[in-house]
Amino acid sequence: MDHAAARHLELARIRRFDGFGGLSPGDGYLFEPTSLDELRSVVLLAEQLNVPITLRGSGRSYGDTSSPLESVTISLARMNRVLTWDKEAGVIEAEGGATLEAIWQYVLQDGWWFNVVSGTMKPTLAGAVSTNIHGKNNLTHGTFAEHVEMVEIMLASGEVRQLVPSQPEFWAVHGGLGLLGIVTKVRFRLKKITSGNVRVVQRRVHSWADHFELFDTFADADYSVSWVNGFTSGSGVFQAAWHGESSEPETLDLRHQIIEGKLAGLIHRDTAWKHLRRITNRPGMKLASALKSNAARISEGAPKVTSLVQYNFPLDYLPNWQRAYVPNGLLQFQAIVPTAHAENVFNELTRRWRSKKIEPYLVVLKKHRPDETWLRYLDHGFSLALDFRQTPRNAGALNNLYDEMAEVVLNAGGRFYFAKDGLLSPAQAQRSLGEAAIARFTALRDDWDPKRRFKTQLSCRIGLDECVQYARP
Amino acid sequence: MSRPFRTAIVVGASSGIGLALAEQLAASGCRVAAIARRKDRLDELATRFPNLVLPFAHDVTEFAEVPELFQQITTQLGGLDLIIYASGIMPEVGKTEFNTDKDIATINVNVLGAIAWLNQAAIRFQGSKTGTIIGIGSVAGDRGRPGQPAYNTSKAALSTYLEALRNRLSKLGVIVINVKPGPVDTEMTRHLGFKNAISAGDAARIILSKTTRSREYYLEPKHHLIFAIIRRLPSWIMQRLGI
Repeated sequence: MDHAAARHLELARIRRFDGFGGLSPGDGYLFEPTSLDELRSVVLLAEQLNVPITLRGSGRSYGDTSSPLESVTISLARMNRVLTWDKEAGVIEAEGGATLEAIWQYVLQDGWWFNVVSGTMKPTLAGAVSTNIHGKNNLTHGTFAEHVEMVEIMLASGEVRQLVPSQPEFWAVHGGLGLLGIVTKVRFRLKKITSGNVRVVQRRVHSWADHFELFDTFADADYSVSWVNGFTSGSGVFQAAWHGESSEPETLDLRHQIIEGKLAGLIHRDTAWKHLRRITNRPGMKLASALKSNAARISEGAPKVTSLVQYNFPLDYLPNWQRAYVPNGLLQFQAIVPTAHAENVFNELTRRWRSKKIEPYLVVLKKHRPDETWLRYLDHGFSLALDFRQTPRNAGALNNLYDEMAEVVLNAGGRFYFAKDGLLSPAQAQRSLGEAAIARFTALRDDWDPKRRFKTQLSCRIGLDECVQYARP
Repeated sequence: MSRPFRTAIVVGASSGIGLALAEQLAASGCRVAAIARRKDRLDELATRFPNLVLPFAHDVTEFAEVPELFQQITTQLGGLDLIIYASGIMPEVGKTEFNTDKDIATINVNVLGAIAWLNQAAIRFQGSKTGTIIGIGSVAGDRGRPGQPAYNTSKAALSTYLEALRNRLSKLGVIVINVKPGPVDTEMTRHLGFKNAISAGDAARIILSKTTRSREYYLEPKHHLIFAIIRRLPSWIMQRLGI
């Protein structure tokens, strides 16, 4: 690719990008390089034209983490090769554009699975590193970063560096929100498994305190998570799961894992979101939540066996499910609250959303430990992830609710996960991250990217960058 | 306003309908790139709407400048939701005058300038699969009339060009509108001494209230009937009537 003579970007490259929630649109000039050399030439083109660069993975962050500002928008979708796979040691090295989906399909038949994985298999490795994903085993296995042996990054200068956990910058790139450089390669460890199934146990729960207690009761589980009915004061269903212990090689076969077929033998999964849209409203979700609680009454106590893929990637079970949240979109809120304050904070949040009659349609509770990254978002405590439907009518009230809830969380020393945020103000973001962390991160950007080539709508919104192009919606 | 626009380009924003559109968009909170030759007028507009109106001095007949300027503007705006081409000239032409220089100037500003700007918007919106394009046409484009041959031609050409854009882009979700005003009280038309002309501000309000779907429409509802008849009149009647 020779861009030496370019005076402006090729207009036909422009594309509209949005967050997964559909509330953070932005336009950018899409580049999909196939090699490090091509990638470098794109980075240098942005330098030559003085245009920001925004990095785009699979677009699975809910908010504006990868929303461009008329930027050179780099996707690594064509730099997605698996480079080495040591099936004895369970260590894989792949390019940044490889997705988690590609990785599990590569390694599962050899009896390996992720140590840490998100609720969707769609993210790229570069995205998983940049948002430092966590899963339903955060308390025991930490975040994605803790299982990475090496990460390769291209800086704004075009220089490529390989970082290992003993280098401090390794922990800045993880969770660095794509603001330090382009993650071009990742080498990470997997965990050995003998079965492609998990055994799941459910318990109905009637209060926040009961949820918390069950996380302790089932501390030996490989995975634990709670679903909470947002129309109640903390009741819901706790779920613990264990990897299958016996040797079941047939369950490691892809055919056992791939989710396919129709729902109830009737509805194509690909178009199920259109049906889901009909009930994605307050009465519909109130009823669905009540039915889910009642269904758990029936299945309570009896362990259920399900495939690893179906269990780990619930967000992929109904493709495009987020489109049910039309006309505006899906606003996600994920706060991590220290254990000592969790019950009070969650009660207060519940009281506020119920009093405004803006209940979240999905509420997920998990238990956590702190991560080691520079822009740390986890802590000893519990996280609550909320899915709200934004409509033209409730947008103002919902934004006010978000702001109120953020204040409640921050006053209790809580934190926010930026892959799931779209609305925090600069002051709130600063309280979440802490001034010292921001100063340290900014100093590294001053060193690696003094001209602030790497920018996103997020970095502008939360005040990490000054952007003339950015107008807060 | 039927659609909230966050970012817009108004070409021909120093006077008339273009100025009124830029003012009303900025007043609604939209960031507007205001384009015209007369920089002093744009600066005055930008002073009235600080941080919302970005002035760019440009002669629309400098076609080669457009691609780079278009990108410079969209970068500064941080996106583009709407582009309005409102530049237009109507030189005074005598009843027996045939002046090629005036006619070329009219075609350059009213047609080729529009194509140069709206092509850029079309490429962009084709990629982003969103956006609104509005061209300010005229009832004068409906027929070839004795008073303004080149002006009639220019507005007919603009109408056909916008129809083609509409037929290319509407299926992608891009809205393409050709609005056809009748008499509007502007600097361009003042010498014609129109009676019952509507103000530029009223024209702009109507234009910004009808942006939800692709179409061609007359600014004033009565013109739908009047021009339905005029479009169908045989030429010999047009000649007799002298309109």
